[in-house]
Amino acid sequence: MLDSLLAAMTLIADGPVAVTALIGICIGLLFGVLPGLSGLTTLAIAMPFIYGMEPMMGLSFLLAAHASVYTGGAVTAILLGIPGAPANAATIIDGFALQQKGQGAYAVGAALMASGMGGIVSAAVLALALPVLHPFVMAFGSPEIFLLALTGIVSVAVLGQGEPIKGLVAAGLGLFFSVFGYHRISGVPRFWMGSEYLLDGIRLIPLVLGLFAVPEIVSLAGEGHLENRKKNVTLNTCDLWRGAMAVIKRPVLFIKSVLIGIMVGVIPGVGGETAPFLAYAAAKNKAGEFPGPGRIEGVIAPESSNNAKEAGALVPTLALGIPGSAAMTLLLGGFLIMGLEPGPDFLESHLDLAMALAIILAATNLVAALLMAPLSLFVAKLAGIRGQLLAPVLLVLIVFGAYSSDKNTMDVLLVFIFGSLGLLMKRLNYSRPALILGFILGPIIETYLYISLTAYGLHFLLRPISLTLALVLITALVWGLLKKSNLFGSGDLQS
Amino acid sequence: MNKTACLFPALLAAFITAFLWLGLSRWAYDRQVIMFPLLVGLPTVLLCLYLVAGGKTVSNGNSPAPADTDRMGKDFANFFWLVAVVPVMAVFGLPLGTIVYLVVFLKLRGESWLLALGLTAGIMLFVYVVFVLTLQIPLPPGLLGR
Repeated sequence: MLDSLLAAMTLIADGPVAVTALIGICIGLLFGVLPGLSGLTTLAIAMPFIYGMEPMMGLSFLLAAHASVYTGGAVTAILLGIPGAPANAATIIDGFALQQKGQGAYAVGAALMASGMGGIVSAAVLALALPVLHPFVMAFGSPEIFLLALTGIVSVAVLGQGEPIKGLVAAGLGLFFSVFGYHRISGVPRFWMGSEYLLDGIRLIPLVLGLFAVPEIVSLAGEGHLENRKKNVTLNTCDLWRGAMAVIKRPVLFIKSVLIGIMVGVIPGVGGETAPFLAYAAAKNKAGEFPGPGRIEGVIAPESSNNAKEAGALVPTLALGIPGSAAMTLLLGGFLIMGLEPGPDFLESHLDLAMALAIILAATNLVAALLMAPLSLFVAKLAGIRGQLLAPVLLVLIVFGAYSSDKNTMDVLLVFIFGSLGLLMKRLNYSRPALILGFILGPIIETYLYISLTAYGLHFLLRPISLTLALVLITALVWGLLKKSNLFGSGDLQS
Repeated sequence: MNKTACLFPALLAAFITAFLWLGLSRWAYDRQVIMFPLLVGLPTVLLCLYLVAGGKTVSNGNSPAPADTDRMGKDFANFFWLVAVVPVMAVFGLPLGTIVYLVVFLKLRGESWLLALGLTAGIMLFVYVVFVLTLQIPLPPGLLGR
């Protein structure tokens, strides 16, 4: 493990990795502060820029941009009552109440300390878990990888946000999109309709930008002239420090919230927004007697779990190739762009890279919190920028980003075609992460299914780990359908 | 269930069915090549048909309300404002098209000349530094530039 750690440090020290990570942090903080732009949108917009970068640089850039979104979002949640990212919504309850009592700096200090420390502790857990998981995941053969990927897709489709049947349709559509272009096994081009562009299949970048960035830009463009979001806020250093110390004085609450974040992050499909609310609920239950909002525990709990969940979500992403959250699905796409395929083989050959990402994650959380402390007041004012002005700026970014990824104007056109699909999916409650996950894992599923059938026939389902995974798959499917009770038409089952 | 909510899965089913049918008949793919598209396509089509056929009834309360449909209409109105960038860039090229689009977009949305021109200049400076100078990406000139 020490060898891997040293190799990881060498990777980070080699080349301008730290600089790209720092740029990623600044972008993440900015997007975190701007309401309506979540970690998913940040990743989608940042993704085209990693073309041509070294794997470590590109992945550090994406991870840093994504991980710092929630630190930036916490500040606007507390000072303005506007969550920068959906995962910061739980912080508003007590954070904004504290701000209205004139204790905004105290809450911001606690949020930044909880975010930074939560991210560092969870990244350490990730770094320790990866070498331990390594021998376990090496027991996985083709049948197990096939079933694992399928379980991941089904989990995200039925357990994630939205309706399970629609989630399955979205996943099926994603899988179907993945079959365009050259067949990985025979080399025969499929469904290419005589278009050279389609010989390489549907591209990830236009799909990601269309599904995740365009619908958010459309929402921003529709905002028009909002009421002025700027409010009079003042911060002083003493209160910031007092808030930071409040986290140190509550170690049990902090550790409990971090563990909740990690656990939620590890389970594919549960959704990143769940962790802060679960941590908040757990904090409330412990001190059930305190009345009303405005307690610092209500800031520490969600913010500790918020950043911790990202390390948790990285565990299945790196070890199994199954993303622990929707954002990790996009990060998985980033790996593929860099020519890497996370999963059991990845840990065997790139444990140093995996450990380096854990270090980058820890450093990102620390640097983001340190940067936000002095900049909070200034950065919070950015939340007053109107969506109508942000929309064209982001539109130009995605158009140039889509074009620069492959220098093909067809990609720009496809961004808008997939954008209309994304808009419909968003409004009609179809899971967009499930579609992307199906698209990314489609070739892996097809290849490993083919190998499994060729080597074992249908008996591959009877191997012990395969059988266990098949049972998990069926349980996830049935539980998801029962929980949301759409198939059975009765709301009673939901309770 | 409203029309859009029914129409969407119907269109998805038609899209997948068309490709599967073409793959089996016109392009006559080998069994090995068409197997996976069939394995993922057919269940998806069945699920789409389930949604269309009213398996999801209005009673479960998940169908979009009229307010949501209005919102979707507004979304698509805004979407077409954004899509307008494609023909503008096709005609004027990527760099000049961006300038034309941004100024017209901001002016038609009621912004002042100062803000429209200032924001456009700022964005173009960013585009020039990042895409032209740093990434050295040749930007297409468009129909007028050829």
